Amino acid sequence: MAIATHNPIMIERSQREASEQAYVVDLKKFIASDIDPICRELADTVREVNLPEINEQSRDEHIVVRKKLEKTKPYRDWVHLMRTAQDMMWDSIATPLDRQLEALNTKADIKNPRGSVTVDPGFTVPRYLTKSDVHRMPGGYAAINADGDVRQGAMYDLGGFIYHMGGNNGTLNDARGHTLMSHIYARDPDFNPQRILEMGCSAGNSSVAISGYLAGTEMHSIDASAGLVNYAHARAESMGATIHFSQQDAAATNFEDSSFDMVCSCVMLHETSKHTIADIFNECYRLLKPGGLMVHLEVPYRYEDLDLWGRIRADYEGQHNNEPFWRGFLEVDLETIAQQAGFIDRIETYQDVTRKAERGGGKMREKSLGVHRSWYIYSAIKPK
Amino acid sequence: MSSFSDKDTAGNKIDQYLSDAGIDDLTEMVLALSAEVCILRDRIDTHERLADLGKPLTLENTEDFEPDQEVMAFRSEQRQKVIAKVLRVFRENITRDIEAHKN
Ligand SMILES: C[S@@+](CC[C@H](N)C(=O)[O-])C[C@H]1O[C@@H](n2cnc3c(N)ncnc32)[C@H](O)[C@@H]1O
Repeated sequence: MAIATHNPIMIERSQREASEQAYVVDLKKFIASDIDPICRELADTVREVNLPEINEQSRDEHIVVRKKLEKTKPYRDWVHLMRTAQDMMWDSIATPLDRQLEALNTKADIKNPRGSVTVDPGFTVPRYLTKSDVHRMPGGYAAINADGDVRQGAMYDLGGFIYHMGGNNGTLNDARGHTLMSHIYARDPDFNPQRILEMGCSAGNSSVAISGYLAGTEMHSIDASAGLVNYAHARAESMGATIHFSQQDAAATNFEDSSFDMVCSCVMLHETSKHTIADIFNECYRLLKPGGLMVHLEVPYRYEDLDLWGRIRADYEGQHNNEPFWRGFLEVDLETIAQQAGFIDRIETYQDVTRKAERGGGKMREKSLGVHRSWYIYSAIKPK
Repeated sequence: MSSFSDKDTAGNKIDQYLSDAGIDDLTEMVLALSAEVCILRDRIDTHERLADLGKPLTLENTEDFEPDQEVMAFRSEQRQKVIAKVLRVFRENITRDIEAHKN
């Protein structure tokens, strides 16, 4: 069965609700295009006039500047504006979502599914996902109201579309999945796996995109949140994809040793923690068959690429967009972790964004082209 | 469940990042109101386009109207203008601060 090109279980919006969300998108665009540049200028100015003091301190330069900015009204107003725009986004989703929740939960109860969904009532969601609401999404990833509930997944799905302002392939919000496949096909034009695993699938946007290339491959996707895998399952089934979803911790899954040809994730690693990332690489190693491929796709820059304001913005992500591992991830040395886990043929690269992967076609680059044009990829092989 | 998050990494340190609570409240109110203004403008735009097509301005026709790319781009431009006006003071404050630091 062909995969659908739209998602029939996306939250429906009245004209008024669509207008409200369009306002949030334009507010975010305005902040990015008209306010962010002058904030960067402000940060550079504060740096310049305080250079002697900054040079004396052992602390990171951007932290000294940020501490100074935190005492000023424009910076504080900016923090509040950013937070408010994000909160308005979730609020504009909650209204149509709660109106439709019952109907959505009914639609999500799929009879005779091709794939499956398994949630684990005894599962403890890792603390780094429960101690704050990631992306300021009310209830975070982990909130769950009842068996089979899809609320958080539906909220995340529409939120992802608005957050990317449509730039991650419209309402499908799945360019990551296509780009990940593009990287795999660039590495191995003959890639034809029997069984694959995707970690941190969230609402299953990338999952369905990946599965679209691999008819006949047995695909498993896991996430730590029940509300997300419930929704991802319903979305995948409604779009004609066959995927087995389950609620599991990527650092310790219940799958057998050497049972997958490929293990991957899309923008999951930066939402884990410093202490978990090596465990996840070790788990990937354990799960892969000899010769199997590990691929992690991530945000399209590293910490060293960020200028002064970029680093202050990274701190904002940690403190206010509730991504506490944001900076830590951008600085982490994946090369060492992968090497220690035993991986060979390691590639660290920026993959050109695509909405359709071609065997042998995708382009890798040393430098990122920027947001929505590149994704960072770390991939490696388990030795035979 | 509230539609605003209250589980925040910044937690009880939040005061050190925000302006005077009264001003922050006002910003939220003004942004909410300007959103409503834009929603109404979209609605009026729909009505004008329905009228041009000779269709009655019923609730059903209004809800069924599907803005195409061109209409969406026009509306987005209008919204950007409203937002620019609402946030003008905000931008000026930052620019003034930059000048103050330089002098
Ligand atoms: C940004 S979302 C992923 C988006 C999705 N992969 C896509 O491309 O649309 C990150 C996801 O990772 C999940 N996650 C974080 N740590 C995890 C862990 N240890 N085990 C399983 N899932 C985890 C979170 O629950 C969240 O859903």
